[in-house]
Amino acid sequence: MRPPEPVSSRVSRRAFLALMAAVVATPAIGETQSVVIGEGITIGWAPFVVADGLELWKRHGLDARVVTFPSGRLVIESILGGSSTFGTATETPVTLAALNGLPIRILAVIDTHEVYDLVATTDIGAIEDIRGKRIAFSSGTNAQIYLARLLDRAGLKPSEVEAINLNPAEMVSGLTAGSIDGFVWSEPHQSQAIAAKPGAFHRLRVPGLYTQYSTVVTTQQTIETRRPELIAALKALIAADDYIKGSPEAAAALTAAKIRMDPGLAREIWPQINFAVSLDRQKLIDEMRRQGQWAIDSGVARAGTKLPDFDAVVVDGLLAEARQSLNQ
Amino acid sequence: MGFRLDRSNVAGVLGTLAFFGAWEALSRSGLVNEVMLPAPSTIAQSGWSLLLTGELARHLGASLLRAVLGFVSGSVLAIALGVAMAQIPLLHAAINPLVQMFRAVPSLAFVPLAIFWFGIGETSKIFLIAWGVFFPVWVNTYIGVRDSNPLFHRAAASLGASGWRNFAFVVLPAALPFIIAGLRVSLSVALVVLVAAELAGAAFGVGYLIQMSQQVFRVDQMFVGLIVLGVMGFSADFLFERAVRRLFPWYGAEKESGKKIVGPEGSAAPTVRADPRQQQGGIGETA
Repeated sequence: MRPPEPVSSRVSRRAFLALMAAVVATPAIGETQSVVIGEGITIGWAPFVVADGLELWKRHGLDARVVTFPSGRLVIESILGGSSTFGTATETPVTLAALNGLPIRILAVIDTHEVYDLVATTDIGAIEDIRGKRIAFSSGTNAQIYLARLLDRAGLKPSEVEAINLNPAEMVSGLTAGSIDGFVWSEPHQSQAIAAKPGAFHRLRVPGLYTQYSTVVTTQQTIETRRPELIAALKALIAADDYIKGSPEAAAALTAAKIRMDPGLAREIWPQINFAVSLDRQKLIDEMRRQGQWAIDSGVARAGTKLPDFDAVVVDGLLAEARQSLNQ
Repeated sequence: MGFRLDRSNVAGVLGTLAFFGAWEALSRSGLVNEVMLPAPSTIAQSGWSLLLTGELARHLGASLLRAVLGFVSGSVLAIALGVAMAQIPLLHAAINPLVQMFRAVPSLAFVPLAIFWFGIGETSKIFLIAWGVFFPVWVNTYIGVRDSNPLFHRAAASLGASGWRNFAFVVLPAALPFIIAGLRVSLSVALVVLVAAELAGAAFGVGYLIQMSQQVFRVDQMFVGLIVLGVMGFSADFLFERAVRRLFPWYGAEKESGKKIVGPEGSAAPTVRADPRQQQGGIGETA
């Protein structure tokens, strides 16, 4: 006959089983929520890159899976399709989406940047000289907005310029091969073109012509059903912004490595970008209204389209809640 | 070719109507986003607007011109090279590895290079389409010429034909089913590549319309472009088949009538039967 089990063993086993039951039943402290983030791959999305690199999503309770897209329009499509929870887009594709009645929302602006210049052959000395020239741009992007404003500033009509739709990589090869006389796009393509044929091309800068807003976007439905996750994401981005301000060189290096940009070029551009997780609603809404009206007037939007209520598109409550939560 | 009111045609019409009816209902139901899946009636309205402004005709004209030029140039080069490589073993040995390597490279990969080499005009687009068309036609021509039935050559030789006569009246007609099959496949390839080619600095074209519409969330216009592309494909194939029947009346006629058909110059056209060995590496149907 087996000797009876000691009382201490029985108590230990019971305690162990109770502890296991408690662990299983109780939600873990700082339980992470899964999100999918649709991210662009340009220098303007640095706060997202920093948040990825420093695992800031995890620190704020998010189990983030990052999917990269070459354009904000594709990020918006993935969000609308339900593949991404939130992501990055500039104000232009958001404006075009809103014009078409799509329920996309802006939660915050992470930076503003005068991102575009005209890179052209050196015989184009001033913006007025682009009359009759072949100028490339990327249709449906804010580069198209920039070109429209450039023509306006130069006192030219759209018909006075041969505007050619090209992808950015083709702009550089097209300019080098002589197929186009200039293009409107951002870095690093500007530097690539200038370096490709030293002395043949130059930048024509028009300060104040157009400022890009890099925004955090999601859908109305996600705001209603996953508000805590979005607030956590904004807290992570605020932390990333703090890091960028505190360690700009390290942040630039981290971003350059992720987006495969020359680190020297990234350091050069960095001071031109106004990093700040913020939301100047009125300024942003005014810009979106202006772009929306341009889309209607130029025929980009469907005939008969009315400007949507951009006050509903730009949602400020979550950013305020995120800041409040961080200050507590 | 008239439309007969028989069971299968009625079923076809009803099936098509049911499909579009279900699509219309789904789009209007609120279950899906009406912008990302526009109703057929919305698409029809957008198409009509594009037609009225003349924009659709301009897009269609630009695409048709590129597709035809690309198809013709790619096919002519492919047939010429396929015949040459099949007839000249040393040429085949010299360039076959290169051709096989290039065959694996899709047209899309060449878009940036095409702009650099040929500029943003029509040449770069025609080059891309010709590249896509070339390989299916080349491989079918090569196999058709290489594997022509030796009995035909002996029969021709016994009748005194040699050299160019043998080539023109025996080899080419025998290879024709393969060449036609390659051309037919390349027709659809030309249209597929057309969309990629119109990435290269186009201002008009059906592919351009599709991409542009996508950029600005005009999914309705995108569908118009897709439907036009589908109609282009269907029409191209229909016209191709009619042209083949007209130019080569004996092709396929034996299958239809069960009789041998008299071919060109009063001579009996060779009956070409499918040889499983001839299908190796080739694409498409045989008579």
